[in-house]
Amino acid sequence: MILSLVVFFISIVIGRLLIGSSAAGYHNRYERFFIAFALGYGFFAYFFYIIGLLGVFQRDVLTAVLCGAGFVSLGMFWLVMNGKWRALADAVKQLFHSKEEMVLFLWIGGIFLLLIFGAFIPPTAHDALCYHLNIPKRWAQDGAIGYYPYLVNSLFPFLIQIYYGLAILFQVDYAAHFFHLLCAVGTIMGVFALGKRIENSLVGWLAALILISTPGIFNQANLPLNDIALMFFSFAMAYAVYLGIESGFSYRFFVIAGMLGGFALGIKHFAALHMLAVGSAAFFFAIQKKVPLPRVLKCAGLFIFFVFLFGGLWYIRSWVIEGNPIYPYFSNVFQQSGDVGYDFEKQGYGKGLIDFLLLSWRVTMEPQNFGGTWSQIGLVYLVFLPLLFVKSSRSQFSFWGIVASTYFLCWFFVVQNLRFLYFILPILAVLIALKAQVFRWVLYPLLILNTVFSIYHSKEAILYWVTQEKMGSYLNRVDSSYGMIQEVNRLVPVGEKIFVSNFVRLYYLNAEPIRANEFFNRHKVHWDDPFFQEELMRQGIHWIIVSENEAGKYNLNNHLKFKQAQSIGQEFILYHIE
Amino acid sequence: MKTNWLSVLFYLWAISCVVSYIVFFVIPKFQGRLG
Repeated sequence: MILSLVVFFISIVIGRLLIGSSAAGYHNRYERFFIAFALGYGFFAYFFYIIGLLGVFQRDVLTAVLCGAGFVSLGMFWLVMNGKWRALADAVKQLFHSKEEMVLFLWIGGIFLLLIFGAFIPPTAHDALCYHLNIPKRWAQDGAIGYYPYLVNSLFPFLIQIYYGLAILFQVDYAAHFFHLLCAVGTIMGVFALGKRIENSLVGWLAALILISTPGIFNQANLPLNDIALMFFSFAMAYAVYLGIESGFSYRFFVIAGMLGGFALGIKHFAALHMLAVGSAAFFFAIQKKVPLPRVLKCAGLFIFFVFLFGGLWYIRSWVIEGNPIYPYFSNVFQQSGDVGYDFEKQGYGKGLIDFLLLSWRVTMEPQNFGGTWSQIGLVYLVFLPLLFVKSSRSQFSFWGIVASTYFLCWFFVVQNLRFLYFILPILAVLIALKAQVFRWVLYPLLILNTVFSIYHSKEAILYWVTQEKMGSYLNRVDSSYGMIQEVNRLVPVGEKIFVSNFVRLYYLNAEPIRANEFFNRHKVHWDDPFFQEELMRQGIHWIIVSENEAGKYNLNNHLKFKQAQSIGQEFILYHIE
Repeated sequence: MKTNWLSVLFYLWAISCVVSYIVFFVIPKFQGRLG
């Protein structure tokens, strides 16, 4: 927690330096704070990424960088703030204008308290154990951000995972939860700032509460995944473009938006669609406001250049190593073998008119068909959706309306997975808060329902704290594979490579995992190939862990020459081959 | 008058959403049918 707070502080100072001292174009200090934090948080991670690529992702080096940046930030903070403490106190006072707003703040604080409690428990999220933490663990072990050809996700854009690597390097892996949670804090700051800008602080607080109590957002905010981080950077990018448009297509906001867009592309490939939505809204306003073409082109050029500068490295690296900038996806397009396709149709319903009309109903009532109940968005959005179509006299909503509608259409036609819809939830939260002001007694019961879900979802965390459970026993209870991996860790030395089949939750494994599918694809061999073992030995692999079913199917006890075979857990066999 | 009717419609919509959500999502979820 302390580590994440230090990074939080440094990020704000770096961000303030990056956005400059001019307050022109900003409506309130909260939006400056939000944009500064988003810039600083992304920039600091990108800096660590470059350090890691240079081969110095090591504890001593990163400690020195953190300490240096921390002291410099502290000094600059003191210089800037000295004599302005009263202004800071005023800023805090201006956060609340009524008792109701204070209650909303405490409500949000209560939800964050639950998230903080939950953040202390050891990581068990499936995707985190597969790659969001597994790959950073390999960086930490090797002291560099390297490429792992047998881990299919190792060329993914991993900007937020840089912080997870930092947490692992400092041997506090649960700190990764706090780093993702900071993205939720950042988004809430942005949502509040936007609500305050458009209407008042009550709308800001309502919007913040709608967003953080959204079940899918709450459920993921303290897990070491990346959807909240993507929402944070993409929303910040959209906000910067909005500020740029509102200040007459000012260049500096498009530079900031480009940097934030680059960071968003460093989180997930899907950020490209977010940029498409934001770009279409910006072009609409450029035409509507009759902005001269050269100015529009310069804004677009600056935006694209900075996106490339701060997000392109991930894709160039992937292209240089594998010949595919978005490896492993679309490998068939880039004439690569071993394509790992992403099935866009595996979630949701069809793409027809009826499907479109029923979509908001279906995503609320049947979230299990849109990527799982854990990522559901809850009832608030559906109930208040009709109000968003009631005509409003405020023209400034149309930017956010165009962004939300364009992205919603992209989402509908490309991939109907609720996690990928999170980008527009901060926008919808603000628009709904604005309309819901006069229907607060409809909104509050729905928010109470969401809060009950949050408490219910936190039962595991509460139990962990109440019973003071030990980390090992918790992991044994919650993660069925943990005990088995500990057994493997006792038998296989840390520096060894281990061939792993039918098993992907690899984070707690200390030896270097070599995933079977990638090995088979790259070396064109399989279990029953006579050269299989020879190929393994050539690659320096002396250990195999395989399910008993698979071992039986390929008769490995007879095919393999091994020193030792040992049952691990109830379903796996560990071979030490020779 | 028109605004009032819109409000009534909105309240009816909200109530029907809540009832449907409880029937189609909350109860099946807590009965473990949705995973």
